[in-house]
Amino acid sequence: MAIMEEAVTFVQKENVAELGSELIPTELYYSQEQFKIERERVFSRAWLFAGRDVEIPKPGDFFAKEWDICDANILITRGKDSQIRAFHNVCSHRSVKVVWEDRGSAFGFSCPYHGWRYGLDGAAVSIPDSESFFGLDIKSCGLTPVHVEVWNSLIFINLSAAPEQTLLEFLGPIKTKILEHSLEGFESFVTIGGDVPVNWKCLIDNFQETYHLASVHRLSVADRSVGSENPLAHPISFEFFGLHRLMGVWGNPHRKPDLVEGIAIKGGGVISQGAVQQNDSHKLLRHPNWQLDVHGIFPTLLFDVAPTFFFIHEFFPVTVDQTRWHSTVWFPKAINAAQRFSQEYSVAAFRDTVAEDLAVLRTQQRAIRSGAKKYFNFQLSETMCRHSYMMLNKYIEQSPNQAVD
Amino acid sequence: MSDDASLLPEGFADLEPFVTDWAITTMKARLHRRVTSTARERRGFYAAMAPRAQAALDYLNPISLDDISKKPETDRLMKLILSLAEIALTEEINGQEVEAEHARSNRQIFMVKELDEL
Repeated sequence: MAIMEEAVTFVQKENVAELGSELIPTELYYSQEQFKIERERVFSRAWLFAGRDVEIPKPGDFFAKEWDICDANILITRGKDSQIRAFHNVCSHRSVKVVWEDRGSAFGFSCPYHGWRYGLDGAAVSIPDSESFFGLDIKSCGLTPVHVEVWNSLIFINLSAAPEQTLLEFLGPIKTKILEHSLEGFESFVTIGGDVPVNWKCLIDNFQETYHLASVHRLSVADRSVGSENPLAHPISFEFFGLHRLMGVWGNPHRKPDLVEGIAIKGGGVISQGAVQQNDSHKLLRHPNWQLDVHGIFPTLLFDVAPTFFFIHEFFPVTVDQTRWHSTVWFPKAINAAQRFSQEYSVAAFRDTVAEDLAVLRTQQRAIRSGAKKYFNFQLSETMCRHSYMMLNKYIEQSPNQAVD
Repeated sequence: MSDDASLLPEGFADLEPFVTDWAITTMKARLHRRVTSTARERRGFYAAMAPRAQAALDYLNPISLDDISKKPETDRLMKLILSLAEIALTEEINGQEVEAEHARSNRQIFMVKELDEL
């Protein structure tokens, strides 16, 4: 409890001196050449977050996700043996997409083109008129497997033929930080998303800095994260773990909720309520007014955790100028009306906040492309953005068998 | 005892005028209603519903979510409250001008996967 009596402190420039103060070339955000390098040197090599195992709890459950930058549609299934597997969603016959639904439950999959059928384990199980093929061996006609590993309920895939690191090696010591939060019981989820005409790095940067909160959200929710003692939402802490990074976000303890918002907070599923009414051991460990932790997992996962909720931002580069984004909010399964209401409110509030971000981001890509500005200038509260930039360069430059740590 | 004609559980008759417009199934449809409603409609719904929200939740809390959805009266009351989640944001947080901006941006956000309906 001693920490409660200490003076309130925020992160200082000295704390991040190791990262330097370089200006960031805007060219990296619209260059086709850079995008191609990112495809080959990042998205085709790194472990990529795909979802959580609790999304597919039963044998036969599946979901499919698109990584446009690699032209990959990946099917993730839970087999009869409960094993989670990943495959290219591509028919072994003439390469059309086999599964067209984004998520569902099935005994197997049938290609809509000529009716080739596959099991949940990817094996081809039947081929219409197979005797008319010329020496076809059905055993070699399965879906093409993709490397997949699950850690702490989090599913990652790797699109390379032979991953340079295991998932555990790739994640490294940030695992310990994530394990400080229990994900157990968070099994109910909602995903919002959209296509944004902006480079993926601009989009992820928006969600990993607190500098914009006081202005972009000034008429709505800024007062959750700014207050008299912290008017520009300075973070509490930054920590760096090889490719990955962590920011502690401050919450305003003086915020007075409105009538319905207060009812929603009482329901226990509310996100972004600032530091009010929280009494959690994590909070005491970090800072008296800790609100949430933003874990940045290279290259495109942001994993935000607070005592009563967590959410996951995923970013899928489509072209150099366009990004598809998904944000998933995870809750415990609602046990009564108050909790269900609280969750509904949280999702709506979260979506509103993102709507404000998107309105600004929509203007950015064309402005960058104009060439009017050659550099971005990141300040202290944008340190996660700087770290992302540095690690992206480092990962691109490193030789395939040399891990970044 | 509630008679068969009541749309809502006993004690919530004052909210019946709002059932047609605001007892809405699915998050997506509730959002759609919000962004296509007028400021006046939102104000009217909030003014009636917000002061009754706690009482409605107190009434529904002892009933399991499954049972709430099985009875039309409780199902409607629950859906009214869920619509209030959207409208509380427009009335308490955003104000009219910000809401107009949000409505534009919110139309570009998709519900990829909803929370399970009741």
